[in-house]
Amino acid sequence: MCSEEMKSEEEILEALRNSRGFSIDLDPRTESKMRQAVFERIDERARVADWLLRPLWRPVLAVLLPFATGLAFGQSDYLIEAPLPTDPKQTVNLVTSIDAADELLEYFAAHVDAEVEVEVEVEDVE
Amino acid sequence: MALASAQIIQLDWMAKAKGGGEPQDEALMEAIREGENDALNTLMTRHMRSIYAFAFSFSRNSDDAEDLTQETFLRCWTKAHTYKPGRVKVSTWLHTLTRNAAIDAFRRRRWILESESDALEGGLDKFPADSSPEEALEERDRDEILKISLDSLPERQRTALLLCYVRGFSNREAAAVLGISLDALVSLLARARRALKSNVAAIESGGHQ
Repeated sequence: MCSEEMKSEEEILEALRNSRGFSIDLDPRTESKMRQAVFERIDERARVADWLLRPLWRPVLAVLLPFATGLAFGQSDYLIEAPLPTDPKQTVNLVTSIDAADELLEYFAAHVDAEVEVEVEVEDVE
Repeated sequence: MALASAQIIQLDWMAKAKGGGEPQDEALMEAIREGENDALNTLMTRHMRSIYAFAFSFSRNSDDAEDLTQETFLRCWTKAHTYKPGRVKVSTWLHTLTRNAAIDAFRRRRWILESESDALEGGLDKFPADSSPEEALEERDRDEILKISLDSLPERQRTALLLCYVRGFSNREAAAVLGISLDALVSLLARARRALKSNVAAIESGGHQ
């Protein structure tokens, strides 16, 4: 292995600080691609939000609410699935995450006339 | 003639962002909250490389690191209103978003526990021309040992070490990213250092599988 072994904790930390192995190259093309993708996703999100905010959805969200608090937030995927009122054969999935859970709650609070009590537990990944 | 409100906001953040020649990320966040695409673009220019590198430490492959980086800035856009100026630096907050996105991805895809795959690609294979072949080889060996030793640590320990010793975060900033108290961070770092030392010793003595 190394000709010079790292003996002490300090030596190891010093090696960690000076390591050049943790710098990651990011070429301008990839950076530009990611930047474009972020804006595309923002536009897409705005379109979906527009759609969800239509009055048609308010009763649906009201129906979804107990389901969401009882089931969806207890699952690791935080998935809500419900039929469209206009076409029961179609369903819509609302997938939340640790961050999005808060956002969804705010959305419910703003657009649905109901009280929401949800605890989101963030599990340790260790 | 009066400027439209959107124009006023844009001029305001541009002025603040350029003020004093120092980066004013908080001003950019304020503009992002108002829906200014250009402010997000500027913030991405400043932080994308750092966020990508941090994302890579979770994903260990470039495709997932790109996804995590995009997700981070998308969350920055959608959650800008939750950023509290003065409590943490914008860069710290962005790293928190990255870690949360990584945890979400882990839950969906479980790639954090996957094998090393192409970890540190583009890092371990690139050494500067100012090193002799022997020095480069020794540095490569040392980095490889550190990489394997870090990868064997629990996620929180690994992240704490990377933030504090590789990315130069203060303890307070690292604690904010991990969502723990300063005392808990200090304790976590102590455990992480001991575990890292133990892993390094095991590899150097040939005990690593």
